[in-house]
Amino acid sequence: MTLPGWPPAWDEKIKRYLQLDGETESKAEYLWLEALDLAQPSTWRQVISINEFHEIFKPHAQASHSLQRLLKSCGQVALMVVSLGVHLEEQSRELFSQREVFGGFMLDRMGSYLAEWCMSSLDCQVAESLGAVGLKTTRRYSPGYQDFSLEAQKVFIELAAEAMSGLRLRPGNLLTPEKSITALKGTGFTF
Amino acid sequence: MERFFNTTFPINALPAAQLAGAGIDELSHSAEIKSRAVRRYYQEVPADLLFFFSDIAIQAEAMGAVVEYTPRSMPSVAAPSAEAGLPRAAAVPRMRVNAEVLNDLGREFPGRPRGAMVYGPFTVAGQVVGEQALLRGVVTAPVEVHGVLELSLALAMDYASLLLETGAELLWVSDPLAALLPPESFWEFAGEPLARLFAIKGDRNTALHICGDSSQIVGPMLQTGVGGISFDQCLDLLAIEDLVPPEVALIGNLDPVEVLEQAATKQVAHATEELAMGLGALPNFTLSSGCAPPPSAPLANIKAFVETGQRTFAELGPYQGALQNLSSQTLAGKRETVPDLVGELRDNGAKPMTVMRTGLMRAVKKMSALYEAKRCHLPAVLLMVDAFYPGYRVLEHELAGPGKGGPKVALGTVKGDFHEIGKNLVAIMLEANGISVLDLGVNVAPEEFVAACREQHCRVAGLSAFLTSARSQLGAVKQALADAGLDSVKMIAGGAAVNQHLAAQAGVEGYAKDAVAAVRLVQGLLKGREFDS
Repeated sequence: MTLPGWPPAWDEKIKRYLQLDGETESKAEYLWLEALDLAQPSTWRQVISINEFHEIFKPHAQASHSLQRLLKSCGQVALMVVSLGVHLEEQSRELFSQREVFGGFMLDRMGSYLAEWCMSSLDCQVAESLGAVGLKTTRRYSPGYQDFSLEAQKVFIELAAEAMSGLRLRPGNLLTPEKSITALKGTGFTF
Repeated sequence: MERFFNTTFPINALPAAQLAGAGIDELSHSAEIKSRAVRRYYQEVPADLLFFFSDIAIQAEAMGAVVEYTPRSMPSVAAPSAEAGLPRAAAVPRMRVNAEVLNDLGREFPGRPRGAMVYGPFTVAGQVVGEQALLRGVVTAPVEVHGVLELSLALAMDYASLLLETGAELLWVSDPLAALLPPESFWEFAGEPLARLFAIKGDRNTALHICGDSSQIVGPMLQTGVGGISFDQCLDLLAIEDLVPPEVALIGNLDPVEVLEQAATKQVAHATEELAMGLGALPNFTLSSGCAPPPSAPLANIKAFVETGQRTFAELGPYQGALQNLSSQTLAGKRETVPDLVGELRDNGAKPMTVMRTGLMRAVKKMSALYEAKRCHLPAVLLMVDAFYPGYRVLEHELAGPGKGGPKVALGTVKGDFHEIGKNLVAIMLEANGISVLDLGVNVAPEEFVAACREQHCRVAGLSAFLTSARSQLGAVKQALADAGLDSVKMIAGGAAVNQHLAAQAGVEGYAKDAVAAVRLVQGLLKGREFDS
């Protein structure tokens, strides 16, 4: 799936996020270009019924009161995954190991920003396509939020396996590549 | 006050009281006793500026305030003036005593400059009418405040003139009460009178000391035309040095009580060297105490302070410009130029440890100070660290540190958590500050922290936790250390899942919100123990 607007602009928003000023800004701009080169954004999405969701995400969905509140009036759930691939984070680690801390840290932060940018973009796409058929959507929700277990990431990985073959779960139920995000949003005609 | 740049002296000469053979009450009234005490003091202490043993009550007393004298403590104002008077300084017996002592110092130590110590008009006005009344009056009765300020200024000018005519080369003004003025009122009630007082000197051999955090009023202090600003020990000079222009002396600021009075002589020498090495690359730095060392400060400590300071300046002198350049380039993150600058300094004979401390470490400490003062962001700190390491690598084979031989910290991301960036940053910042790190990696179990602390003799365990599910590990590690009899190992924690409250709840000694704070925390926990080893 293509992400409209990719790549994001080198604008005030990213500069504020990275806390740049003066000397650091000019150095970081080069790294931004490198980050865009290294990032390989890929996305996956699927809309399933609420019953199917409860079945597939057993027992995590049932155990999460916050998630149940969110999906209370939803008939369907949109599942979303984004990943930037491994190259960006490998380069970040390499720079850290060479004591190029600024570069390592900046690439890591840029990776986080880009992953979030991709997920926001996918989130908008999903909301727009569902909105086109008259469906409303809830806010985005991810494993790890409040009482929604991180273990639920495993289910996302299994569902998205074909489209995102490199995605794995590390110990601690964290994703690898690290710059990957899983999320869902409820959808229905009324809330 | 260019002639006082890179010199060393403690403020005032109060420890001379130990050599008087009489109480401070007697000494304060007798030129003979005071001269004898101060002479002996400066025979012991080779300070670059001599003071005559001044007390803060002298001007207020001349204006009618009631002063209390005892043998063991400094004269102090016991009650304000019933009616403020304005005598001639030459007619005030205790002022004449000080002029005589100053004169005697000139005869005894020809060629060693002497300071005329006078108290600021605002401080004296506070003693004359009562400090609270004066501070209230700034808001409620400014006209009356200006009236008493004019009187205290007139006496200060007359007294300063008497001392300058006696041969004092430097006019030193301490104005502690001015620190309590709101910054926006400083110029009207303290700055403008001080400017008129300094004007009588006719040159820039003048200095101003205001106690406490004066960082907000550096601008108006400079506006007085003063030649040097003396800063209290509560301020980190590295964070404020850029506020003081190069033609004005940056004076400070060894702790007069915690270090000069209470520490062992070895610690005084160590703390002095640290301060002088950190600031000595600045041509306008003058090493002094953060305020006057008290009468009970051991003479051996004062002597160690002065001698260490002078020795350090002598060592830095030939390389000062190059060291300052190295520090600036490191601070600006100039990774490409720093190794060459280090190499040049070594080729020219600068000691490896001097290059390290006054060139590279100075940049690390300064950037950390700026970060803590919220005057830069983390990326600027990291850019500096990038430049620090290539410079350090040039020296590494000749040095014991950083990362070698120093106190050790066992660092790891707790069990169940695999985040490493934050932990890596802390490791790098600790190493850059001369603290060796045993990096245990991520997903570290309590027993691994215990084994590392026991086998590697780590004094501090640093725990990183980003997942809320990993929070419980803080308490688990604390318990495991206690069970292993390692209660002396201090714990610090940081990461997105931790805050001050949670860390305290788990019995952790310190919470660090970021890598710079972690360094400060570890240094604090290790403080006092470094001389045990």
